[in-house]
Amino acid sequence: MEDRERKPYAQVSDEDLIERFQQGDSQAYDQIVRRYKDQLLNFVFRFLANAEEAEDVVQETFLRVYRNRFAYTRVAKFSTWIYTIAGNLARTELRRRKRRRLFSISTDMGLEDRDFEISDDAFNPELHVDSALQEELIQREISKLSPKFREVIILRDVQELSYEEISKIIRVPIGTVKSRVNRARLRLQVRLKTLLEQRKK
Amino acid sequence: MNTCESFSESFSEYVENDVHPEQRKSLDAHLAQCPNCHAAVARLQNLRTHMRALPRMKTSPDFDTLLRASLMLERKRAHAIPFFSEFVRMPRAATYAFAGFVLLLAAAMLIRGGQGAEAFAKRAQHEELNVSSFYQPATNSSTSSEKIFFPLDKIRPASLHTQPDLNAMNERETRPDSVKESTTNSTGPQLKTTTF
Repeated sequence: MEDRERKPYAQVSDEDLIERFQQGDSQAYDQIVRRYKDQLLNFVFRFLANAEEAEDVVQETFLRVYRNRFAYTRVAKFSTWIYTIAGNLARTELRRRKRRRLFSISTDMGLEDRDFEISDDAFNPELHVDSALQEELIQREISKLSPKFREVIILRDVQELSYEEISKIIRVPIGTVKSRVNRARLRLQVRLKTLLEQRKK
Repeated sequence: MNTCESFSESFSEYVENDVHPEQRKSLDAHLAQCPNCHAAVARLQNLRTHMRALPRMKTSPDFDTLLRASLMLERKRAHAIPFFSEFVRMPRAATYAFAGFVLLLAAAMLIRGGQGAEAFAKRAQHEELNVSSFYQPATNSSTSSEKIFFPLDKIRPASLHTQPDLNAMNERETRPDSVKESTTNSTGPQLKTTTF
């Protein structure tokens, strides 16, 4: 019974789902949540590098979708709209965190890891890099990128979105998106030189 | 070195197979003779594979429960102020239009209110003169009914009269024909008799 009810929703496009939701169908909203919660979490987590904060941001994203459902019009793709909301909230969270850090540094007089700027040479190249460590290394380097480079490389290489969609999400021309992705990749391939060459061997 | 830098600007497109055939030819030629750029391109290809292979995050098991709770609060909040919840549900353009209309209405009321007050003040001033000219003799008459220097008996309404002349009434009852006489002959406040 449940499957028969769910099947149409699973086949419905995102744009039709939000339209149904605008007409008062709460099941359409549930389907949107089901479709986007993990991919948005993945995007926000790679951006913030903190699972708890990322989950809060995704919760807030869905609340915003609920609250502002009538603000969506079919002019834009639904995925573009929801990614824009999540991206804006993630950037806000990043700024908030920076403010918090500034405050904690001034009060605690503590120094954080990022102040030491550990170079790649600090890691032993002979070290066997297991997948968990690989992930940690990559994530660490992604987090070192400035937000504007970080956002585009995650959207392109992790979420695998098209340049066109990324340009709509962050409201920047396609040419700029391409050049940002290129610069971010060049930076990462230098910083992760050891890892990337080791893999090759 | 400069050529390496300029070539590096198209590395991403090269890796993604998104370059013009001519550009690809010149890049291939450069990569064949530049080991540094060749290695960089190889690392870029590898990087993309690594990025795609990063483990996909999943929401925690209580994600849906938390969201449902937040939505319930949201609904409660909306129901608490039904007017505003309806207002929020309106499309943005309609909301702005409504807000604009309210502002215009307020402005119009302010302007009209100002003019109205002025007009009222003028009217009041004018009426005040009339009122005082009408009531001044009446106040005088209430204090001393004998000192009548104004033919008030002709304009004063019956309700303003004090005690009716009982003698005159009795006279009228007993001798209805002589009412006119009695009224003219009776002393005291003459005003009262005219109304009967």
